[in-house]
Amino acid sequence: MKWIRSFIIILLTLIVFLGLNRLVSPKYGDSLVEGSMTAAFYEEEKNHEIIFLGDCEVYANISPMVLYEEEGITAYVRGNSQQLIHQSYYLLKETLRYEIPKIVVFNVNSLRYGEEEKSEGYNRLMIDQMKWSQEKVDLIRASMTKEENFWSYVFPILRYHSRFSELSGEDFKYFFMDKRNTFNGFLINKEVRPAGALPTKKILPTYEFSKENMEYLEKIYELCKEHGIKLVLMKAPSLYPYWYDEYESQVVEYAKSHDLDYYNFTKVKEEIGLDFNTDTYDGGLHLNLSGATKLSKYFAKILKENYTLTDYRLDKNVNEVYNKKVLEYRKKVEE
Amino acid sequence: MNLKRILGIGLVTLCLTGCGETQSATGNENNNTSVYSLKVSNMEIVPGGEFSREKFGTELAFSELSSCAFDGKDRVYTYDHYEIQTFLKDGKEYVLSIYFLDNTVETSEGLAFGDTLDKMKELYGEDYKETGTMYEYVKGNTTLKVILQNNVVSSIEYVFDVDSLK
Repeated sequence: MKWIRSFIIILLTLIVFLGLNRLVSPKYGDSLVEGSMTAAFYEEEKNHEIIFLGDCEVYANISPMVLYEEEGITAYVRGNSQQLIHQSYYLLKETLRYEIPKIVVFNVNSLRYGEEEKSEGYNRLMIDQMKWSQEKVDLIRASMTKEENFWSYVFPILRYHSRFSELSGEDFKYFFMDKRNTFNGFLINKEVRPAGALPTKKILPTYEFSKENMEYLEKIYELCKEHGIKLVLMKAPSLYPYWYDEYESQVVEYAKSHDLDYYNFTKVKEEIGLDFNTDTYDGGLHLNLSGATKLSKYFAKILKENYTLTDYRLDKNVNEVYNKKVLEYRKKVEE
Repeated sequence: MNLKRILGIGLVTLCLTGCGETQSATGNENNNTSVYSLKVSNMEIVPGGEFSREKFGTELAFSELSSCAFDGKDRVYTYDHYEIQTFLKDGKEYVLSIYFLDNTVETSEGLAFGDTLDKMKELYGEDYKETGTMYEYVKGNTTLKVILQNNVVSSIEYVFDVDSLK
């Protein structure tokens, strides 16, 4: 009977340990909601014809609900705050475990990021709630800053033990179930902060994208090719950080050499109807709901006209699911 | 030691080990010879030092840059000949960087736009890190970044090492 006692003690210790890990982990339910975006994907029905991939320039600027309402396109945004290109690669790899879309649209902004953009804070937002897989392991290893420790991702208590004294209602409220804050990966932001003065456009030591970033772009390209997915490149419209001409020419060159379509929406801001007095929530870095709606309507037409996509509004089953989502979305928009 | 005690100690140890706390100040509030600083119009601007809007007078332009997810905004104050970016810490504003806008300002050691690589080396020596066209000189938790185009100085910036706060 001694072994049963030992077994029960070990089991209880394990439960307490895992419970403590969960308790001290940030829940990203009502605050820092950007941390809930990676995991929201798992609960979705995996029938997306388009996957958007990239940093905040996709989750703030592209609304899949608008794409659906306009053209019946099913899409999901797998984007996170300051998502580096290698992170996009591993997130795409993970996505392909669940579904194979027709098109992957990659926002090229992260090509300009360097090693100094690696940040534990953003790593945590993206990775904390990600399901365990080989991609997660690879992603952690490729993303960690020098100060970080792999095991603190496995056992969050190693990182978050100081939160014991800061636990709030949110930690108990979402202990058992995470809150979802996006609509197919799109995070609604209705605030308006007009664009004003911007910092000086600095001279840079180099305008060339890093070798590592270009290698990951190539990996994304190869991964798509391997799965018969069409890769499309985009640059979301923003006023800042500056998108230098030298950046643009490298993307244009890459797209040309790989026979890819590339849409730079910074060049067609007027045509889209964007007004940076009303369509941005942070002075021109990201679009707000109004701006994202305009951009998504504009892009929906391009996607419908140039690619063979299904109008899922005509599919009874899918339409039923999306109608519910759209209703919920509209409610949130009008709140 | 029995199993219960071993597991209990293990749990407590795990809870108590881990990351450290950050310091409360940058350490550069007062002029310090171990860091770079800029002297303009009888003022000394120290990267990492406390920033006071009143001290600098009215700026030509002001912008606030939000981060993608976290609270807090970097602020950029543009003056006639230089631009100062600041960051907030514990409710106070500190200088993150000073970026030169024209050749009317020079570093405390005498480097300005249009100077040559030789002059830079004469003033600062050869203990620099070279990345592309950029030369970086580190002093304490501050860095002087100089970019040369066609062998002449075309960009000068002082930057505070925020990582030194960790």
